Amino acid sequence: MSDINTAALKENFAAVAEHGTDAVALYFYSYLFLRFPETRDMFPPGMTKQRDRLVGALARIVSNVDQVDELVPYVEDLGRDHRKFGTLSAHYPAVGEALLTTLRHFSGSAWTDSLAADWAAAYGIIAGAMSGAAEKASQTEPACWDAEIIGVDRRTFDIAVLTVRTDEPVPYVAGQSVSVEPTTTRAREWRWFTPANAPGGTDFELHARLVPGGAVSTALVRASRPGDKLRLGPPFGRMTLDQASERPLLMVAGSTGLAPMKAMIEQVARNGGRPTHLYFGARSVREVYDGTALAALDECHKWLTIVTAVSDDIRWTGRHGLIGDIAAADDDWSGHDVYVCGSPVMVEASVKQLLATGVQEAQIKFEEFGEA
Amino acid sequence: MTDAISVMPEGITGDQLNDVTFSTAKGFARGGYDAQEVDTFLLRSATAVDRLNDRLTATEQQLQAATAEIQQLRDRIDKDSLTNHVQQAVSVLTTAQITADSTVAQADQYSARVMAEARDLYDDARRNSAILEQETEEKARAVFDDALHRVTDLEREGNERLAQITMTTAVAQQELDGQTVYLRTLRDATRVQMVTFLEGLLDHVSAEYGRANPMAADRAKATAKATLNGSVTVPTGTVTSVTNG
Repeated sequence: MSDINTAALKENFAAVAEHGTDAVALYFYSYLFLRFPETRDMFPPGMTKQRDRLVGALARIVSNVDQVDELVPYVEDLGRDHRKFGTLSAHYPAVGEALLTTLRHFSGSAWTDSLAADWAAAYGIIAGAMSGAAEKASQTEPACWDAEIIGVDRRTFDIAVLTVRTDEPVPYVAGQSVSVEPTTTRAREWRWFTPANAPGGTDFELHARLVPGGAVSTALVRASRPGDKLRLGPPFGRMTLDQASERPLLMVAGSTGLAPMKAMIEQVARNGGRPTHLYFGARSVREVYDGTALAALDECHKWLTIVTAVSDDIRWTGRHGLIGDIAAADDDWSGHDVYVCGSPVMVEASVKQLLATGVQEAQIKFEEFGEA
Repeated sequence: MTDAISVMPEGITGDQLNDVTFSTAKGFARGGYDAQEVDTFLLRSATAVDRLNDRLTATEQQLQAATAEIQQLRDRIDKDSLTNHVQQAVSVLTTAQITADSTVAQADQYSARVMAEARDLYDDARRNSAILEQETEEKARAVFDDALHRVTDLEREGNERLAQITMTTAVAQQELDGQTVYLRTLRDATRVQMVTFLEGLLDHVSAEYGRANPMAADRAKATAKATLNGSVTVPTGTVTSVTNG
């Protein structure tokens, strides 16, 4: 992007964003669907979330436009992921036209030929990287994997453990997530979930927690039945085991943040076992939704220690409190590989507690489950 | 007919050129125009032509500018109408999308509200049941503790009574022993008294009887003494058996 005036692009984007990011995104999609009506079917009926995503991606690209090291992997991932929507290389110019028209529309008199040329050049580079990555991915993996729900186990009224079967194994790494589209119950809506098993097989567990008003989580927890179809996108995520490390492990999980930990524990077991502490936290006794499986794991692996704590239920006879506080207070974890997964609030609090007790930031890998 | 001199100083017309007349030159017999008049006329004509040319150029320039402006205006009108169509379509689509979004959002909000209510109810129920469970447990514990206390009390009471009874028995035994000793003493004293009385009586009888028959009296006295001693031995055995009981 050396010959592009990136400062002008940033300035222009900031000025355009002042019209309200949602209004800008609305204009963008309206123009796109007007000029290229065939693209409408790639999106869900409700577009609110989609607009947020577009604006988020654009903002990230524009703000990182000078840092190619950051930008390239991100747009390549975007390109690889976009294949599941049915995005073809022919769609990239259409989106480019819609983007430039939108920017021109909101720029008003500030729009100049050189600005237009710079945006076109920048978009060309991004689109090239995206479609290049998509093209490369198409040689090794399908755009998405067809799957079927073969078991629905509602553990509480808002947590379900689904057993999912794919036609062929999805090549994820334990701890990584895949995007899931409930094709039968809520088509064209995709949200991230983490398989709770080590990879290799065609069946895995999916732990879904209902987010009030969440399109996909509501569909999966309340409406799914055995036989329902799903589609799974390509796996992503950096919360995976460091194969080179021989340090002991600390895993801190809140609610369905347990899923990646179970997958990694299974992987650790396959690799021969490593001293591992799993701290699992829930609000109430019922929300200790996978207690049987945890007890079985504890029984099965000598190198594994499991601590379960409940924060808000007087019936619980075990330890009470927030799981991050309990884990941080229990021991010195500064020699461990640390993994944290749960709600944004839980992850923030737990990481803070662990850092305060001397754990280094570089030791911790964490993932939040979104508001799906 | 126009007199050359009378031509308007600021301009000249074709008709004026056609109709122009000059005075006859003075000093010549015939023919020839007054040279000064002709020169003046030519000068005025040249000025007029120059002025006309300038005006023509200016007008041509104005025309060009006007034409360009018209073209620009025409372009803009074309573009505006095109842009307007696109804008209209975009705004129709935008409105439609907003409507769709709000419908979906309403559904999702409804679902969110229902779920939030359900969760609240569930949490309330969970807390209440937990509290109830705890209360029940506390009550059960209280009942148990109470029962335990009572049992302990009863046991203690029983032990105390047993001790009392044991004590009472010991006292009774002591009393009984005392009475036994008393009775035994009484018996022995009575026996001594009786033996003494009977011996006195016997002595009196034998003295009375001996005076009558001394030989028979000695024999009867020996027999009576042996009988007396044997009959007093029997109650001693009876008292001994009570003491053992």
